[in-house]
Amino acid sequence: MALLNKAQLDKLKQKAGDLLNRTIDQHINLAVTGLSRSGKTAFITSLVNQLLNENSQSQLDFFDSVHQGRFIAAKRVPQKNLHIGRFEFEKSMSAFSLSPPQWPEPTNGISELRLAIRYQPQDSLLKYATDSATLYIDITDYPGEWLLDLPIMNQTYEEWSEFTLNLLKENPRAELSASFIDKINGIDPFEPVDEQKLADLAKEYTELLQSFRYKLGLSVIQPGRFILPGELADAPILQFVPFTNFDKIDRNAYQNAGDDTFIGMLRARYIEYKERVVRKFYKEHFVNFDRQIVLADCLTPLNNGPESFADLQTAINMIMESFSYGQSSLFSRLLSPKIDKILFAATKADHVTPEQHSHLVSLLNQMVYQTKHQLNYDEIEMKTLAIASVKASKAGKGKHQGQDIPVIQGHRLTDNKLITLFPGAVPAKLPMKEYWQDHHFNYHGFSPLESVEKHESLPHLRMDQVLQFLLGDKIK
Amino acid sequence: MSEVKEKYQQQILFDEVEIDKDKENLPQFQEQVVLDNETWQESDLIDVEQVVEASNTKKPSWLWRSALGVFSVLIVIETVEFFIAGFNQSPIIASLYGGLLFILSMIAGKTLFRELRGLRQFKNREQIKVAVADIYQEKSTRSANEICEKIAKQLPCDTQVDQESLWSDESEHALNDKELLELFSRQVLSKVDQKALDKISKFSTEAVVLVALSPIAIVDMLLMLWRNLKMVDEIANLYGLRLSYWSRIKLIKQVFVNMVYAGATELIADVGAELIGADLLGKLSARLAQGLGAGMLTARLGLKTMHLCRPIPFDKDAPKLKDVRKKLLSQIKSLTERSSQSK
Repeated sequence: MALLNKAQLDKLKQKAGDLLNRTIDQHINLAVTGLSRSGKTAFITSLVNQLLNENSQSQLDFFDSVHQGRFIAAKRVPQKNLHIGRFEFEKSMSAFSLSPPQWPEPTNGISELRLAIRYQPQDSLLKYATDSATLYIDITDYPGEWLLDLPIMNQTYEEWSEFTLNLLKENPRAELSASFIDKINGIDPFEPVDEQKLADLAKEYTELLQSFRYKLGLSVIQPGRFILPGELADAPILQFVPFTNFDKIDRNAYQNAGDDTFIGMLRARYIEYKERVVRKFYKEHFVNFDRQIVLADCLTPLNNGPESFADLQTAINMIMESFSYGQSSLFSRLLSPKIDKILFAATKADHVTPEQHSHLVSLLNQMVYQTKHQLNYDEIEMKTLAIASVKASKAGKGKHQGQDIPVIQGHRLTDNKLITLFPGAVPAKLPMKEYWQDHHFNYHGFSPLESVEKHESLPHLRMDQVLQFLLGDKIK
Repeated sequence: MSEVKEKYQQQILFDEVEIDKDKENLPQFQEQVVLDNETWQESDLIDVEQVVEASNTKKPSWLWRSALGVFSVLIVIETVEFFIAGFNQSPIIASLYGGLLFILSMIAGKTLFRELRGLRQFKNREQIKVAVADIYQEKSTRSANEICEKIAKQLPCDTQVDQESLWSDESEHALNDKELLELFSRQVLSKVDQKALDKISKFSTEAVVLVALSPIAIVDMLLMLWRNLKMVDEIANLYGLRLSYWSRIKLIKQVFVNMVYAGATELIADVGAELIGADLLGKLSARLAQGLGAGMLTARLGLKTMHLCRPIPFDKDAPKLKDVRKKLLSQIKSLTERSSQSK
């Protein structure tokens, strides 16, 4: 009799547990935010790799659930949106397992993945219901170039043109863009539109953007689809340019201009781009985030000079604006206001010596201070870390002029030669203008350290702290 | 302008590909101004320590000191005179006395040495704790690596084997001092914590059973005293503190002061839930409930000892009474079940 009761009780307990598990939604939608080349794909690959290959060798001591032995396992499960590409984890991992290893290829489309983490609950209510609970994580990978389109959503064509014109006229861009501005100024905006001419102009503008991006190393590149069109290549929706001569034209005439005039067509295409491309991208992929990580590479802009650094600062603040300013009105409507934790990560921390990490952190803090200020007011938990998703160098010490100094060693990205160097100090805050005139920074890029097989975990720097900050409070 | 110019170190490229992995005692390679700052901080640190020491060891007044001096001079003169007189009158007895004095002074010296060593270890541990706290507050210049190695050297050798295999892997981790300490705490000391917790649960189970079995209150008390002292000793040993008489008294004093200062709220929060458990158990057996109370107090004492002995303070997941209780209750349950089965 007693035995029967016990069996019944167990069954009942399990049923109740299942029910509770279904009611309590254990789910995180992680926003991995970063401009292009800031290391989003490497970050996601490393994150997935660390979780999938968790074992006694993995270095995740700061991730509490692993440290306490409550982490059971993680696996990849079918994603939520079937019409969106699958994140090619295997492909990126195989880049790391080549000999010599390489960085994964840059992303040129949107992809998604969903991970399920199984763990033993310890503190939460779940403990009373089940022995093991599951946490689902959704991550979206997308080209960083597209991220900068988000601010466009809140600008009319007129505002956007004005903003872009100001950028084009300012220093790093002025030289390259002068002829383009002259060309636009020479066009009568109310003449009937010639589509071929418009296409040529858009092509020229795209080339201009590309040289800003690759020659000058700038970050504010709008519209982002121009340099990475994805499936929209050559569509007329990508054939528009900012109009640079708004001061000279009659506002009423502009308002009344039909779609068959030059300016009217530009406006129509801009609005179409804004609604059909940007807002769609935003609505599909930038809603319902719970957690956000902002990846920023501070070293490359330092290499490129003060303008590039200032541009990165502008870009990050522009992006963060489209995440934060809705908190009162727009945000709460479009974005769920649930992002309750933000991690700012200075990537490529392994490209400088360890004692410079604190400077890297304060440099990033300086870059995002406006945003942080706003978020602080909204009582959002924030942290800044210097990380390396996949470690590309070894830290040690070397002798220089009879003195021991900290150095790093790794394979240089350009020629894959093993070099040992002290890469230079990182300024804890942005140097004055005078400093740039006779100095410049020159941090080298590195290839991944050693080839890593698919079943091994990638060497990393502070990924465990990232995991703990982003997921730790849900796995307990 | 010139200041700005010198501000950032330029990069240095090396020809040799040899890299020295040994990172300890690495001087900070930075600009001149910062170096000056650091030396200033170092001296400041020493000053603070000296001040603390000076305030801790109250020097006795010169009157007492002179009295002590005269007294010891007198003793020496007395002894010398005794032996001179003794060798003149009866050399055999005097040499026996001499032998006795020698043996006694050997014993006393040995004890004194052990006491001093214990006290010094204890003081060392306190200093490490101060250094660790400094690193946590980011005002220390001592490297975390150095501190970790110092702690590791003091740990019992079976833990050392564990930690060497783990710790050396991690040494190429490019982490800052605070993170290094935390890593050490998580990788090495957490193993020690586990052992200490096992010890505590073992001793509290013993306390439960012994108190439940013993018929007289005075026996309870004596048993508790004996077991608790032994537990404090063993826990301290696990954390690499070999206690001598005075250092033990110091530690126990600290433990009790800590427990008193913990106050009623913590006591209720800590013991409250356990008392409910005891209440349930009380329905089974009044004696066992009594024993459980004693066991819980033992566990509490053990945990406080852990807190005081641990060189790096616990981060957020400090062991709580409930961790011990789980083990303890399961052990007691198995005991009672076994006894009821054997009936």
